[in-house]
Amino acid sequence: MNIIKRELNAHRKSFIIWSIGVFVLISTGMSKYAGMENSTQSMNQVIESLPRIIKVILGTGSLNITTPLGYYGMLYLYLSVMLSVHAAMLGATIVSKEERDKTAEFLFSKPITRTYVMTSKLIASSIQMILLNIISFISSFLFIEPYNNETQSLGSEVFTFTAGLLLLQFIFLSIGTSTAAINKKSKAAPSIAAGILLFCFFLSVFIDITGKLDFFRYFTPFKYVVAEEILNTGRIDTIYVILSVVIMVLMTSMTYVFYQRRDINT
Amino acid sequence: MNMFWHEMKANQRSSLLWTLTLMVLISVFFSMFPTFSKEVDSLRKALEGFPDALLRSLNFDVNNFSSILGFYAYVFAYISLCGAIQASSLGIGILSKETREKTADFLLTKPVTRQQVITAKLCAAFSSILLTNIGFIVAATTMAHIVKNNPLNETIFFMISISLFFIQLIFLAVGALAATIISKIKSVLPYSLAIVFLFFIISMFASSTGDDKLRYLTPFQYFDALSIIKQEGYDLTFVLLSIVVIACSLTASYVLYLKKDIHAV
Repeated sequence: MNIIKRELNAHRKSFIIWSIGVFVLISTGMSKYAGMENSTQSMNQVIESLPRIIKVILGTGSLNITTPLGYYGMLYLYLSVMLSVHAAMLGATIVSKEERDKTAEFLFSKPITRTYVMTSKLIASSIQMILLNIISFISSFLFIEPYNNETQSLGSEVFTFTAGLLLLQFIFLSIGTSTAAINKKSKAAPSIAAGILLFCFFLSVFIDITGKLDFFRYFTPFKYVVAEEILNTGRIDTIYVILSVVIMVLMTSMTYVFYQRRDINT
Repeated sequence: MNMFWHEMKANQRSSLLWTLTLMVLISVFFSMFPTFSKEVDSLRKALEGFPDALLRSLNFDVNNFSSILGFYAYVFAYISLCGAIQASSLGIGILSKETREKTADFLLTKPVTRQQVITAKLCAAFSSILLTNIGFIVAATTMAHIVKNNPLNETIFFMISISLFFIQLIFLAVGALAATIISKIKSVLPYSLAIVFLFFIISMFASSTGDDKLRYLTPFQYFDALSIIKQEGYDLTFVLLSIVVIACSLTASYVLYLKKDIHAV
C-alpha cells in the first residue's frame, strides 16, 4: 500500500497536467463541431464522393463528420495518440526511476519482494490510467451529448470509444514497463518505449496512405481500435481485443520475469 | 571549444539515429507516391460534378494534390513531428543533464562562465540539428527525383525541406527554455513528447478544420507547406513570429540559466 500511495503522489503533478490536456483537447475539438453542425448535407456528399486517399489527407477517413460522433471519430485518433504517449512514458519511468534516482538501494533493502514492488507499481500506474480514461469519457460525453439530435443518448457509443482507449493504454503501459525491465541501461527505457510508439504510429499512417498494407494492421495497436469500425459495427473487432489482451499479458509477464532477475545498478 | 566538442560527442549517437530515422521515413513516404498519384487522377473525375463554390468552402484545391509537392506537403507534417521531437529533446536534455547526472559541480567549478557553458551547449545542439537537416535534405531530394512524375519545382521543394530546420530551431529554443524553467528534469522524453504531441495535435486539428486562429498557437503551422506552394514563399507574419519566439525563448533561457540555483551533489 505504501508504495502505491508513494507512486501516486510522485506522479500527481504530471497526472494533473495530462488530465487538463485531455480535457482541453476534447473541449476545443468538439467546440469546433459547433461551426460544422449547420453545414449542409451537401458537404458530406462532397466528402463522401472523394477518393479514399483525399479523405485520409483531410483527416476524415470514411467518417461522416456532419454527425457529432463522426466528428468525434476524427478527434479520436489524436486522443488515442495522447493517451498512449502518457501510458508508455508512465510505464517506462515508473519502473526505471528507482535506478535513475539512485533510490533502488533504499527500496530493495526493505523487507519486500521484487514482485511486490512491481505489483504495487503496476497498480499505481493502472489507477492513474483508468482515472485519465474516466476523465476522457466524461469530457467526451459532456461535449458530444449537447449536439445529439436523436432521442437516444450517445452514452453507449462514447463508452465503446473510451473502452478502446483503455485497451490502447494498457498495451502501451505494458510495453513501457517491459522495456524498462528488460533493458540493461534503465536510462534508455523511455527512449526505447517512445521509439516503439513512434514506429506504431507511423506504421498506421503508412497503412492509411497506401490503403493496401492490411496485414500490417496486426503490428500497430493504433489500428486495433479504429473509429470508423466502432461507428459502423458498434463494437471493437474481437480479434483485436484478443490480440490486445495477449500482448498485455505477454508484456506484463515479461516485465515480472525480467525484473525478478534484473541486475539492479545502484 | 572543449565543451562544444564534448557535447557533440555526447549527442553523436542520438543525432545519427535521428538523422537516419528521418532519412528512412522520407524515403518510405516517397516510395508511396506512385500509388498516391494514381488515385489523384480519379479525384479529378470525381470532382467534376461539384460546384466551385462548395469546393472553395471546403478549403480544397485539387491542384494541391496533383504534384509531388502536394504529396510532400502532406507527409511533411509527420517529418516535422519527428524533427520536433529530436529538437525539443535536445534542447531540454542538453541544458538539464548536468543537474540530472550530478556533473554540475564538476563543470561549473571550471574557470568558465555560465554564459560560456550555455553558449557552447546551444551551439552544439544547433550544429547537431544542422547536420541532421543536411542528411534529410539530401535524402528527400534524391528520393523526390527518383519518384517524380512531372518536373520538380526545385526552389519550392527546397523551401519546404528547409522549413524542417526552422521548426526544429523553434522547438530547440522552447526546449531550452523549458529546461531552465523546470527545476529538476529527471527524464527528458516525457516532457518533450508531451510538448511536441500537444502542438502536433493542435496543428493536425487546425489543418483539418481550416481554422486560421489556431495556426498561431502551434509552430508546426508557421511554415505550412501548402501555403508555401500556393504563395511560392513563406508567410511573413509567421516568419516574424518564429523569430520572436526563438529570440524570446533564448534570451529568457540565458537570463534564467545565469541566475539559476544549481544544486550540487
